[in-house]
Amino acid sequence: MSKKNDDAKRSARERMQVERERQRAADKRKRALIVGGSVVAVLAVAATIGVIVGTNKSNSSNTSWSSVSDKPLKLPTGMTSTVVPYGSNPNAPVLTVYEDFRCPICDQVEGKLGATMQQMADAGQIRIDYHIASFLDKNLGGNGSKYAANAAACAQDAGKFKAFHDVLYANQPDETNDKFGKNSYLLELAGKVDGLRSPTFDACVNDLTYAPWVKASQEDFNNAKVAGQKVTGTPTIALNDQKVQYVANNQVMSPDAFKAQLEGIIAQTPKS
Amino acid sequence: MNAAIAARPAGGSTVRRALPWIGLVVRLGLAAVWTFAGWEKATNPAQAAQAVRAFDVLPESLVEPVGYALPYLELGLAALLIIGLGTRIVAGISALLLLVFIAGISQAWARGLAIDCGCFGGGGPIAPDQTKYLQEILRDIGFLAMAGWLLFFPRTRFSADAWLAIEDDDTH
Repeated sequence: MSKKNDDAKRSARERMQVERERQRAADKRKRALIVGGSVVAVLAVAATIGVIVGTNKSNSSNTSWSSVSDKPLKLPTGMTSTVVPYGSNPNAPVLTVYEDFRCPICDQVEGKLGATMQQMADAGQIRIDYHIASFLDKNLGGNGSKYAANAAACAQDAGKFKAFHDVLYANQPDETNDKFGKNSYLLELAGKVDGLRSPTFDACVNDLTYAPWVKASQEDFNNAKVAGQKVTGTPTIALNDQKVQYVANNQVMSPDAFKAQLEGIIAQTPKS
Repeated sequence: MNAAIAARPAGGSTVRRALPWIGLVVRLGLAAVWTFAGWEKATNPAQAAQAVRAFDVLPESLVEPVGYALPYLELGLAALLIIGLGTRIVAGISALLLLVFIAGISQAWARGLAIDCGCFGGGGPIAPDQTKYLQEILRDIGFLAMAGWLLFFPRTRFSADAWLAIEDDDTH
């Protein structure tokens, strides 16, 4: 009798235990669900805030630019596409130079190899097509790449793109400094090129007349390919659609080596 | 003989007692990583977007949303790690995100793209001799190890998880 009673008590206790165990498991599941749900909710809210803030920020910093850059495309004088040609012989092998005016490596390349390229173009050995990109504004914040590109296009109208291009690189500010984003500074630099400043030029710079070209040129850059490979950065140099090296031993190569390379490629390509 | 047997559980419980403290350090360390990474990118969303674009994986329509959302997602993960809520889930998401980053850097490396990973702000195309793929990957693997630790030992000191589970711990 007493043993039976004990058994009943024990089984009741066990049942209670099982019940409590189940309760606890259910609680735990519920808690895990609440915690998991809050985690996902917090992250979703954070991501949404990010998209909203990011979209607002990038729109507001570009209002004045986007209002002019969506006007119909007009090419600067002497251009048949978005690239700016330079050289004495329009039928010479084409050296395409992809550059951004704020790109520090472009500055290094221009500083060391610019003169060589210019000599070859002046001598009619090559024609340089400057493909001006302006994506660094997005990378670094600011407007310097775009405004400098616009001013350079204005200089093309005056027939002085190349000279102004060289002045811009010679006075390139630190990568994170948006000095080129001020038209007053660009006009000051334009003063260093003889005969460039004129009321027409100044108005062209201040009105961002070639903003649609700057935008189109960047879009072309986004889709640009050399030998079937996407161009992923500036500077990129190609001769007759063949990629040209400008780095040797972790620095910009010597002008002689660079010139020899270009002449090698020209010698390979059949005359047309 | 007896002493040896007695010593073992004592040693084991020392380790067990130390685990949540190690967990706390790892948790706050990973929180610091996400805070720094998120903050650098959140202050310049356009650059973050360009960094995403440079990996050349996502279609253009997804580049900006992802670039904008990513820093805040990282800050969200940091906040959750600091308060210690859902540590295991957060560690899992962190690990997943780090794996995606490592995969992104590796594919850029393998394809010969010259980019800066933009892991802590920055990013975009750079000169070919300035890429640091190996360092970037090794660093991410270090962070991945932290996330992995929390995935296996999610119980940490001073966490919302511990606070929420207080009754649970009492009965054990």
